[in-house]
Amino acid sequence: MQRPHPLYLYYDIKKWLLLLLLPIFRAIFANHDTITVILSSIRDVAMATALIAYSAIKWNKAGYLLNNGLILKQGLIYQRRIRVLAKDAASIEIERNPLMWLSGGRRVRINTAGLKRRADATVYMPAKAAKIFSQHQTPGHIKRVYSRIIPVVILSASSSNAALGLLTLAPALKQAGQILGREVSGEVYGLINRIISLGLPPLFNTIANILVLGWCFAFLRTFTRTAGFTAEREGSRIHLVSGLLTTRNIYIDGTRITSLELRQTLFMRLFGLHTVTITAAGYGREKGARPVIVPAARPKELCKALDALLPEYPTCPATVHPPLKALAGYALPPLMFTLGSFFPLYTGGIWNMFAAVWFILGIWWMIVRLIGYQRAGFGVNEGAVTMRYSIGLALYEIHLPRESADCVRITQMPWQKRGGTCTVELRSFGEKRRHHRVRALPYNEAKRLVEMLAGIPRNEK
Amino acid sequence: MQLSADKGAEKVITLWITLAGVAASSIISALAGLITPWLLILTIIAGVITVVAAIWYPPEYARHFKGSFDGYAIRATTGVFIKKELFVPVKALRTFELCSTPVQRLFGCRTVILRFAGGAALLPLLPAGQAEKLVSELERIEDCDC
Repeated sequence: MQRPHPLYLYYDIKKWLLLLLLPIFRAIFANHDTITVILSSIRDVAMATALIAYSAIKWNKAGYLLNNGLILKQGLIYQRRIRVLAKDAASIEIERNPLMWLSGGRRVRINTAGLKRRADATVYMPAKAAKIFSQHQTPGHIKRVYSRIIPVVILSASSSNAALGLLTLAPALKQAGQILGREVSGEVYGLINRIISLGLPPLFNTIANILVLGWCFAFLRTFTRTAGFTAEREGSRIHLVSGLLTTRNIYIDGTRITSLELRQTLFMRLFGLHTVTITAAGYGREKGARPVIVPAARPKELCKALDALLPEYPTCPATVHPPLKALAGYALPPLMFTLGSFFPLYTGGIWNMFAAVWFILGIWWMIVRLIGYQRAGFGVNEGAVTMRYSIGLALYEIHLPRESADCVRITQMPWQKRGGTCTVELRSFGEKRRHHRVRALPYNEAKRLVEMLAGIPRNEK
Repeated sequence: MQLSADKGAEKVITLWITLAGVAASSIISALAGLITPWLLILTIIAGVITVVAAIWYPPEYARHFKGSFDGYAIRATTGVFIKKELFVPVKALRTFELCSTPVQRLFGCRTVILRFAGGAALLPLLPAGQAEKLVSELERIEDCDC
């Protein structure tokens, strides 16, 4: 067995390093005599050193072996020995950040199907050893898809609808701070209120600046994660490469893909772009993991990309759509939300700005719901299920193989019973979102499709 | 195979509504003693709602509960105000359980839990005979597949 790369030691020690900062904070902020501070610091440093030594011994005892899979041995007090066979690996993720690049190491994570995280293995190994995972299965039969830079920039700019919401909120806050400062200071004579009137405008300015900085950070983070994105199909394996500073190579077994999801925010819809993510058994459990196979592409490029990456993946059209009378149900919640903005408008003064932001967000939501209504649908054929719906401020289109559909529920509220409509909810296997719901579908047609999906023969109905 | 709720389910639901009503009335009465006696009006309202619900709701629930199993999928329709239809293909099932609380056992009811990869679905308050028959049918199909 080989010892893991020394990076294992660094990542294990990282959590104890904060203890070494305690003496510094104590020296600066504590109100004790020097001897007490020194003795407390010696205690903290001794504790940190003991924990670091524990991590070092753990690293020394750990080991891994690559032989038709991975055998990993780790732990000192609680010892684990994991064996993951090559055929059981649903996905393999190789991460290289700047530190790993400098030290010549890689973090390799092997995910298995199943809901238990304990069946996954993470190992730090030298870059040369990690190359074994990238050996080509069938040289010469590789289909590649590249992402263009402009769609990625647009995707990063609207990395969430909240990003644009924040951009509208930030100037409103600045304006509100200035108005508040003027109004309050003009009418106030008490000392405390004067102090507040002097303090609030800079406070609002600070909050607005933080929001803008937050958006810039989100933009840079998304851009550095998705720029240079490449997807390859080789045999049954899909290879995804992404990231500028931290590069991620992800290998996914194409036969274990349980769903395909197309996502579109309103901002991306203006440019005709979609993001495509997949759900593969065993991949995508970690916080922040988004198994993207196409970051941003227009319909034509999207079809070409999916033909190259997932040629055999089953799809079907959505044949059942909400009727015209369901439009009111889709429009009512955002309409009520938008009308609520008239309350702060009626109050006047500083609240006018908040009313304006509230109104804009309401209209935004309304537009997304109306587009969601126009696109909503449900379809089933021999091999696939399709659902189209909107959640929050984004539009989704899901394609699943029929065997991935576990349970279907049709719900009818009292007003839906009168109108002959229903809500169809599908539960499927997946590491993240497993519920898919389409509202206000015609009941009889939806039930016919659901019975087809459940495998109930037509002559038995 | 047809599934339906019987008198046992009605009795369990009646008992739960009664207990919930008594608890709600007690809490409101306690609050009436602490805050204002006018809250006793709410206690009376809670009491009336409990009595009406305990008399009216259980038979309606039993009347609306329908289910079937035909070897391909389990279907169930539940709900008095909000109608819910459940479809679980047999092929999607991973495990299934038969469970019961002491109150359910007292009135001859069982709950069947159907587990699949994406979650679970419940068939509550089935008569014991129907629940056991359903589970044995599912076990038979599982054994045939193996």
